[in-house]
Amino acid sequence: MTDKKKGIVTSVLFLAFSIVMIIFAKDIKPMMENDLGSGFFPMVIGIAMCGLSVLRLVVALREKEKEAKKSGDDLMGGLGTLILIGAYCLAFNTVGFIISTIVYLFLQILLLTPKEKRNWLVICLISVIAPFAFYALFVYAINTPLPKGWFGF
Amino acid sequence: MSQITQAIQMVLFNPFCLLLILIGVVIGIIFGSIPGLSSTMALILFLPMSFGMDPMNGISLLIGLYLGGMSGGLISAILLKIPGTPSSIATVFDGGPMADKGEAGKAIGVGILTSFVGGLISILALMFISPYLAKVTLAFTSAEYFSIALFALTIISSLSGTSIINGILSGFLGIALSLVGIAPIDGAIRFTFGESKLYGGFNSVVILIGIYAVTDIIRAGFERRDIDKKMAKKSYKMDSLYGISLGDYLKRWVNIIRSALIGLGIGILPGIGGSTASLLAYTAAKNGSKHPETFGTGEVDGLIASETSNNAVIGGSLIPLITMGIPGNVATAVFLGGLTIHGISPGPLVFTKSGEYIYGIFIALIVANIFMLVTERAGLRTFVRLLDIPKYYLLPIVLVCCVIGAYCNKFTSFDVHCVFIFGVIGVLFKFLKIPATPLIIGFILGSMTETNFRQALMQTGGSWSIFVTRPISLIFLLVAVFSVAMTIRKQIVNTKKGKVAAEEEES
Repeated sequence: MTDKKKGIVTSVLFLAFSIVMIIFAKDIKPMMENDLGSGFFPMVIGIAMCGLSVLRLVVALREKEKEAKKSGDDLMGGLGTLILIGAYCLAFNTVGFIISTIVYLFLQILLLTPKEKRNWLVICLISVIAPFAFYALFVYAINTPLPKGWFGF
Repeated sequence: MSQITQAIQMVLFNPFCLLLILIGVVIGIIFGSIPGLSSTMALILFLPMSFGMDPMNGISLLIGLYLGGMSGGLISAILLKIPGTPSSIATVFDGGPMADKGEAGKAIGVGILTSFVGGLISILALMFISPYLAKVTLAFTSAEYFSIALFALTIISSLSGTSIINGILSGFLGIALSLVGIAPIDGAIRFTFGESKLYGGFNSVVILIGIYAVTDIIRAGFERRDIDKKMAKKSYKMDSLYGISLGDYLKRWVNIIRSALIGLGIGILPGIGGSTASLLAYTAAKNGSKHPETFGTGEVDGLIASETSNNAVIGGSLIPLITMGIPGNVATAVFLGGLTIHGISPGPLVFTKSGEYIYGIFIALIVANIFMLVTERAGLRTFVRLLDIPKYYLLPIVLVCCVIGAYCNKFTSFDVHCVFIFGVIGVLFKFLKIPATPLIIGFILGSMTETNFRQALMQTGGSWSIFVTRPISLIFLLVAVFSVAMTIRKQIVNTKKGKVAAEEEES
């Protein structure tokens, strides 16, 4: 994507956000005498953001379109990591800390490690030992409970 | 005099007490360095343990935890570019680039040394001039608080990189996020969309972890082909004990003293905190520097400003606590709990009623500060070795730490989900070339700005002149205007330079 298009996307996203903010802030009425009310500040920020987004749009539209550099991003690695972290965050409380962390660490390390450097033994050891070590440290040493999940651990 | 002798006996001649301070400092450093865990959490966890001890021993343990936790944040801020605590955000700006240049050892060394100096200056202020300083707090009303927050917000414009508009938009989004939940003053419920979990608003630690850590790890996924190149080993050699010669360090005395005073001042004022102190000190150092353009590229002065000021907050925050019994932040509120359990009630009479314990606290603070200087330096080699662990092993483990940190905030899965959402926002920001740091700064300062703005106007019945008729407030506002004007001027000069360069290229 060219810088110009990125600028347009940025301004549209912020403009939409600020309009939603202004609409909701409009309905917050002052409840106390002498107070500006809880709607005033969001309204100011909303309007300022709205104005600035328009300015950003103007700047972006006036920019010359340059040829976009070809992105060297590894989509598989990036989106894979995104999905893994998302799934881990969702499973953290329901499945439990130990199991979800073992699975997450194993898959994430596998995904990030270049093929020629994959050492299965090290990957397995890290993904099993790290969760138990964290669990022992938090639950037993500093008395902070971590989610037990389905299987009671 | 007998009280001081008693205090020395209770702390310095008591090996168990010294050991407790050491344990406290080490555990505090660990809590501070893991993103998501903080010195406040360490204090809360160890508070019950301190009840069963002798008063001085229990209090000394808490002091070690508080001091260690405040200083530990610099380690992950420099090595991983993930601030261990909100107060070390500004440490990332220059500490991170220093580590990239292969100066991780020097950055941590300077950070430790200057944390020690900042802490020491504030402890000495606490010991000798605290009753006078405590009166300063009375001169600060909502108007001054608002102006300080506004001044701190101006740092956004100078941190925005090439696109100042993108930076300010990001800052506004941060402020907007701080407005979610139950509003200050009248308790109106805003932007929760019927979701009760949003009533308490977002947590700054959660946003911090999401934007810094999760984003970094997802980006590492996108760049996994280069993951090996990025971890090419660099030398971490240091040419002196703390990576900087004494002469070179002392040459920066203006910055050191200014940052320590900012930290001390912000520490004394209740409810502001270390993150604002380090941002303010960083802005002041950048504005006052002869070469502001080097800030953000690994400038030692930036690192010194941030770390000196956030540790100077420690002594500062204890001043209103000891002299008036007012805790300025959550950590000192927990500390106050620890004191009252042992029958020490801080206030104007504390020196006559329990003077030996107060002198004991002063001595324990100095001892803890020295322990911090020594233990962190001793561990420096081990910390830096963290960078030798291949990133494909290190980053996933860091993510697990972050998720635990987010969960331990309130023990809800909601915060864990938020970490992911903010991580995705961070990735989107990187893609669109929007700087993410202004978002965090806007979030941290947003509610402080709004609350004090409304309170100040309520006091005057709606007259806005209060902000310019009160001298301290006026000074901060003028400095804020000056700071913004300087940035705009710089931006115009840079744009002109860029245009000339582009025209020359075309011709």
